[in-house]
Amino acid sequence: MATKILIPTPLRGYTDQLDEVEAEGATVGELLSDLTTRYADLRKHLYAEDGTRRNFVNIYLNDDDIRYLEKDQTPVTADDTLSIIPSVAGGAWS
Amino acid sequence: MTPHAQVVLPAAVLGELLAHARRAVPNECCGLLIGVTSPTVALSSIDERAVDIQIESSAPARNLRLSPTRYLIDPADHFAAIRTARARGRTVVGGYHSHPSGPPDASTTDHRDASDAAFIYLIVSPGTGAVKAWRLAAGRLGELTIRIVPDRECQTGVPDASDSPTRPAP
Repeated sequence: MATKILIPTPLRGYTDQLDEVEAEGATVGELLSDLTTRYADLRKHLYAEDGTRRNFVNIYLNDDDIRYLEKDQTPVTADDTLSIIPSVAGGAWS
Repeated sequence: MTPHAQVVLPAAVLGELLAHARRAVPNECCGLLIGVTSPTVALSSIDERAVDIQIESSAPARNLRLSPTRYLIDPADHFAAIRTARARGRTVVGGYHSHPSGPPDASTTDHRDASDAAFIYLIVSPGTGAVKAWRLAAGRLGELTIRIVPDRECQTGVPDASDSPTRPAP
């Protein structure tokens, strides 16, 4: 079962310039695992060396942040859309 | 193609960014920038290519840090801006924030937190009205040239998906 994943501009260099791709899995975690298997260069941008997802990476299933659903265990269907949203942060001159 | 990357910024958008920055004082404001990058190049080589980044509109975001010296764009607002951009056939080309009591130079924190080589970081100073644009290259934020243009010059020639199909092309 393939589910659509939207790729943000900064990460398209790792998905052959595609702004949306498909991956397979029954949960968010499985989808992301399949995604980073298909596009191996993407993995280091989404995950730290210890396998945990980087804290500046936000994942949305349709309209909802998966942190407020069941996180990586959130079930997905072929009708869903997963979006990867990188954090943007910084701070003033000091 | 110009020899160096250039950010094209409509005067009206700059006005919106400064107004947002002044409303947020003493805290930093932040938001996203929607537009187009031309010509389309491989993002992996964007550092080496000269490209123009045309900013067309801004999307204010909540600063989750609520701080005079730090900002963190609410990812929900970032997500909304991405969806708005996609609906118009555009992309989120960068973000903006303010330095309420200093120049619009990239700070140590800005350098440290910048993560996207394909992303433009625009900084405004509400007190002076100054603005500078930055982009990550070789691990550091490098300054880009900004060309501020009257709104009527901001025609990219890219069809807007939200336009009526019966509307004549610009």
